[in-house]
Amino acid sequence: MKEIYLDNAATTRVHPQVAEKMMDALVNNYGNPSSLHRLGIRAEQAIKEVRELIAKNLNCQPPEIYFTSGGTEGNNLIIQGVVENKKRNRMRIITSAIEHPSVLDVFTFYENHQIEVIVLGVDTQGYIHLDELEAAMNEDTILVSIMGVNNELGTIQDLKAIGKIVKAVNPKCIFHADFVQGFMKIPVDVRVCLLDALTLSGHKIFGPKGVGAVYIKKGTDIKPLLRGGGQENNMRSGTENVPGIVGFGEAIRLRKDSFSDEFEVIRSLRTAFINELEAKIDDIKINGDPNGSPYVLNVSFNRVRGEVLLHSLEARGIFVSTGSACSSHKKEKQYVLKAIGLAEEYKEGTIRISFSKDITKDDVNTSVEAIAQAVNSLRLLVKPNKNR
Amino acid sequence: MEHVILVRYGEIALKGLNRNFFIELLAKNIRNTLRSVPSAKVKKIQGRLIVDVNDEDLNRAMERVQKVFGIVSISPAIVIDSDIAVIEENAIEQVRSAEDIKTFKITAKRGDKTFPIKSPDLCCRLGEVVLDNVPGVTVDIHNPDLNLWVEVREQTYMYHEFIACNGGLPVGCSGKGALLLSGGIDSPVAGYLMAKRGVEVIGVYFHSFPFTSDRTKEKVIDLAKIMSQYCGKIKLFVVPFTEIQTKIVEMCPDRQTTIIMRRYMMRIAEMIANNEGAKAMITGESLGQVASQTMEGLAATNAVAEMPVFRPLIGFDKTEIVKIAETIGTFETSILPYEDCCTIFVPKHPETRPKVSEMLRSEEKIAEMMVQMMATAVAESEVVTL
Repeated sequence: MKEIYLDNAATTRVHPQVAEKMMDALVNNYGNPSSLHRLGIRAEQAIKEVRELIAKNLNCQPPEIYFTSGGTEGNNLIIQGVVENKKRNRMRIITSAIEHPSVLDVFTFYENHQIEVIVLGVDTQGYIHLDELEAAMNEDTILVSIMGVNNELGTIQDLKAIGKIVKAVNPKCIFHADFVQGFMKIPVDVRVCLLDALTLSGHKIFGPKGVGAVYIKKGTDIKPLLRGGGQENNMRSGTENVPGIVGFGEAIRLRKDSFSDEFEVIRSLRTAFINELEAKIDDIKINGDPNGSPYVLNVSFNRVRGEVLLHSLEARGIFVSTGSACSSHKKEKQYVLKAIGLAEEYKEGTIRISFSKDITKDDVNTSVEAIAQAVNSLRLLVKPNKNR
Repeated sequence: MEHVILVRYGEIALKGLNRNFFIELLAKNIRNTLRSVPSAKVKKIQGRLIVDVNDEDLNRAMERVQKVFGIVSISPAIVIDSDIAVIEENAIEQVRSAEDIKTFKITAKRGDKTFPIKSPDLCCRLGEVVLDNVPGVTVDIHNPDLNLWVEVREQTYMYHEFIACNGGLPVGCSGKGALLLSGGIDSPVAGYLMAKRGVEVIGVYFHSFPFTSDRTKEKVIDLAKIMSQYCGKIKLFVVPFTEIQTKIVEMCPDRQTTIIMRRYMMRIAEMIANNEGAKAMITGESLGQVASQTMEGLAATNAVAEMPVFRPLIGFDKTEIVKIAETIGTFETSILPYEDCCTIFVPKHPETRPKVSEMLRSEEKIAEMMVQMMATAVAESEVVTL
């Protein structure tokens, strides 16, 4: 049975060329970048190249890029680093209701610490209301954190418009975006969007797990999470994950010239997927914005349990997810669907399909066929009004 | 000087002529639990079992032995020659090396009547040499910080710690029982309690992929592994249940599906129990806990079983069950949030007062095909031994 992997928003399979480069770094470029001898210098050189590559793609300077262990660390570093650094009497921080738990949980943590936490609601497609943001902004606002691309819905926020509003009200306020689901899929320019900080991760773009980066605009005051050897210009102590960073770099290199073309290809796949689904199955609902990220398709089936559907598809070699993998450990699993006001009967029956360049039109047909079979047979087992 | 664990058994000492059987079984269970501690050796002495073990393995061995049913308490002890000079020297050393004590007491027992000093005299004599040689301690015979026990037998055992164990009967002495294991909090506790009464437990888990995920199966295996620290080896049967469950949901009235499903689980568990030579079934049911565990619900599931069904939790509150689950270490695993076959398919308005006759009528349509389906499910069960 062929495996069709449709959970690329959870993680991706490492590209063979990435693995090769990493193997080389593990075995040959094994020096500690902090070492003074030439093996150290060679390792340092390798990560310097990746730093420059990322900087170029975000339109910032290489020293503004810091390597981390991934998205969760990046988000924590920025949010905690901003809040812990500003000891003022009145502080306000603003985010949205559909953020990744590594943002939302940090915000709610601060709710109990005499900090005014504002969580902006979203519309039915997952967009924040810009006028609400503007109304929430004030002189005390030290941080606004809004994700670029939502991991469950694919909604792409207008970072440029958000940056403008934030800076117009309070130029000193730090504007951060979690861009884990957007990096190397949609372009971003940190200068144009007036971003002070941005979180990136390696394993969503066929790079390795356990590596990521943050952009922090020069002059932005961030208190590091980790203290120690002072690596990454004191921002992130700990010996650099050289093979991880090299792999991350290779993953970027492989995509940097092709991702805008890929975007269109994926968009047509997604459209085909939706059309097929709607033709074959009734009583379904496509969530999010049709013009959002084509990499994510969030769909609800009435009278089906998402988790059961997931396992039925798994038995057919098709791998999807319910919501995001990162919140499947949490009790309140469906806060994103709640935030967009999805009706109760659809909420339980929601799965997330997330695409990659490896998915073909045939895969789409096979998957839709399998989903239709599974949904229709599962629905037979639900008898709303029998024998009551 | 050797280190040993003294093992005291309580209730089994009362079992008359069968005594030896119980003690042999207990010794065997202790040997089994100590398979991973190669230095440990189990010996019988009068009224006790002794586990001989290397110094560095002592704590690990104690941790394991403590969990074996049929043991009242254990003590880590040293073994020395039954020679008064050696005994004196070690008594001094034991009191001297004890931390934070101001008072002590000697409790000497002369089991070996060829030893020339009688018990009370030995107490006095050892008390005196300790007082003479360890500065800063006094005797308190009523409430001592340290009570040093000295048992003089062929060799002499010296100890001062009593670690209470779980009591009960050695697993295996009461026969075999098939435990319906769901992955929830209750069933592992039920299995634990029956094992405590000497029942060798086999597990029966109903796997309904895709309605229950493979993670639930892993969770049940993990639970059985934790239970096996107490229950000894557990043979776990993973029964493929999807087709039967689907058929029931398809063919039977909605509000009865849970009870009918449980009736078929019981039937299959009994088939497995018979194959394995088990004489009873065990469930984690507690009266009134959920809709299917009303008195009528229990009667309806009970009606399909020919062998006795033990429900050790029947009078327990959830909080009491949780407390035991926490103590034995199954709780954390039990609450992992995966679907189990009892939570999925729960009808909106389940039958709380089912009648056996109605169940039989509803089952009529499927009874015939179920004969084959149940046989297939039993035959295709996956067996995991933990």
